[in-house]
Amino acid sequence: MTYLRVVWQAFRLQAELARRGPQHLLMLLVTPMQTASLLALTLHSHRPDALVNAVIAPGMIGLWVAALDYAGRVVPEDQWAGRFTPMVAAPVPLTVVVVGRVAAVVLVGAVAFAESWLTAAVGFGRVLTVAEPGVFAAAVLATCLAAVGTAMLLSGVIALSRARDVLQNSLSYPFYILGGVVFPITVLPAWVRPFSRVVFLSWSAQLLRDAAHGTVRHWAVSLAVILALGAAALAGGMWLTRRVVDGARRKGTVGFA
Amino acid sequence: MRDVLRIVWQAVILGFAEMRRVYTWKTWTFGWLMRLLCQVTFYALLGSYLGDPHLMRYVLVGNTVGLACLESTIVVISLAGERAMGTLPLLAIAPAGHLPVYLGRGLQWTTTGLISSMVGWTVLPPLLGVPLPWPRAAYAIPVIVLVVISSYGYGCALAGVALRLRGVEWLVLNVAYGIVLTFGGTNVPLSFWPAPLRAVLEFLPLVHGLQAVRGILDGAPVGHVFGLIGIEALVGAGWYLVAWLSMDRLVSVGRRTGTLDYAG
Repeated sequence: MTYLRVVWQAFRLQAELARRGPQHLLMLLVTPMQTASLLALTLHSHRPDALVNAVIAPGMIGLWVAALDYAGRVVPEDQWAGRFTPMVAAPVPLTVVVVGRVAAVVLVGAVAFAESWLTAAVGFGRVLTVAEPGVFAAAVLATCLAAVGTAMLLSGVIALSRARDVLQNSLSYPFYILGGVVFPITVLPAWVRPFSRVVFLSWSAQLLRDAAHGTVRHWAVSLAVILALGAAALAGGMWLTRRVVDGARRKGTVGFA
Repeated sequence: MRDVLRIVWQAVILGFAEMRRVYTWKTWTFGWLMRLLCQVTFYALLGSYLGDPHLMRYVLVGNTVGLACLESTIVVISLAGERAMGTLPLLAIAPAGHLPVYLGRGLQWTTTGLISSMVGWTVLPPLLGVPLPWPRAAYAIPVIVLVVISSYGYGCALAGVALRLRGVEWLVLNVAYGIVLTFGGTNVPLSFWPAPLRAVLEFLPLVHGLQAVRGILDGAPVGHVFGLIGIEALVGAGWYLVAWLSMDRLVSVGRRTGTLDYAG
């Protein structure tokens, strides 16, 4: 079985699991409210130029929530549900399976982009148009790939951590600020900005906003950085997942919930 | 009354014991509290980017008081947890009756909600360069306590939904506080929203309390502020009534049909 087929099967498994849990709808319910909140503030302050920020941000947040809340729980939930043992015993590496499942979760997160666009159009009568659709589409695709890599990293960190709930509850808004998902990172103090540059969200958000406004410069560089950050996170995540499996095998705790 | 107070005290002890399972004081402070402060900062920075320091302060105040509402509604999760563990019947047969026990089940969140809100109230405005007018800002603190109390009633009422439907507690919680924080005047005045929506918003917690807080900060007439406080208290009382009726019915139907111990 090729690894690609394993990824696809894992993708399908995650889709089936998500279909049975109403909690997976959460992100899709929260996105319209988040869009309404950001759009209201933008329109109330008479800043039509920032409309793009308010519509794109919930999509970015949706991806992050998918990576943090759902993908982060993939391995721990397998342990609770007793799926971890057969997964570890399977002839294919668990890391490949987790990549497929994380990708399924992130794809659902990407729906938030469409949802926020719809909320703006239907709820507020503001139809967001994109000046450079080609760059925009490439940026969304690169952002989704980077989100898969980041989700993989978060999944590994959360699986290894003894404070899983704390991590999942805490790593949202700090990253929305660092990632400049709704305002440019120039709003942040100068000493914070270098930290922003290692968060893929900051590159993605800026590229998406620029593509919508038609003010893109050096889009290839931005895309390359987004993909590189995603790839680095993916490599880190795969390494951590392997550590989880190796550690569980060595200590004889594979069957522990 | 003494018995009820004892139950409340025991509920607080239980609630904090439950919290300690997840958080240490360090992880709570540098994880959860920091996240909440970042949430307020996120919106405040957006206000600053979109407008001026005046808008930034408006958003900062709204979201800081909003924390009190957000945390208080987490009672939804605590009560749904009893359902999942199958311990609802044990609480229902308590000699003091099920209501004080059920309604006390998430009291720890009111304490942490108040602490989070107070830390935000005192730390964030000077840190973000939009200081509040003290000592007037201190007069708003009892109103924030009232917001905590009314929001807790709202959370208890909505917990009734989470107790009846399987696996929806996180949906209920996020939609519950999401609606209040989106439409309840935290970022934009209520007048921004269409009139039919405004009519519904009158029945949400936080809405009038937050207006009272803003009134205090802006030096509004005392009578006006007390009027808003009165409405917030009435709204809160209404939600407690809904919670009471909902849980009473849950237990009576559960006893009749033998479904109270179904682990949702």
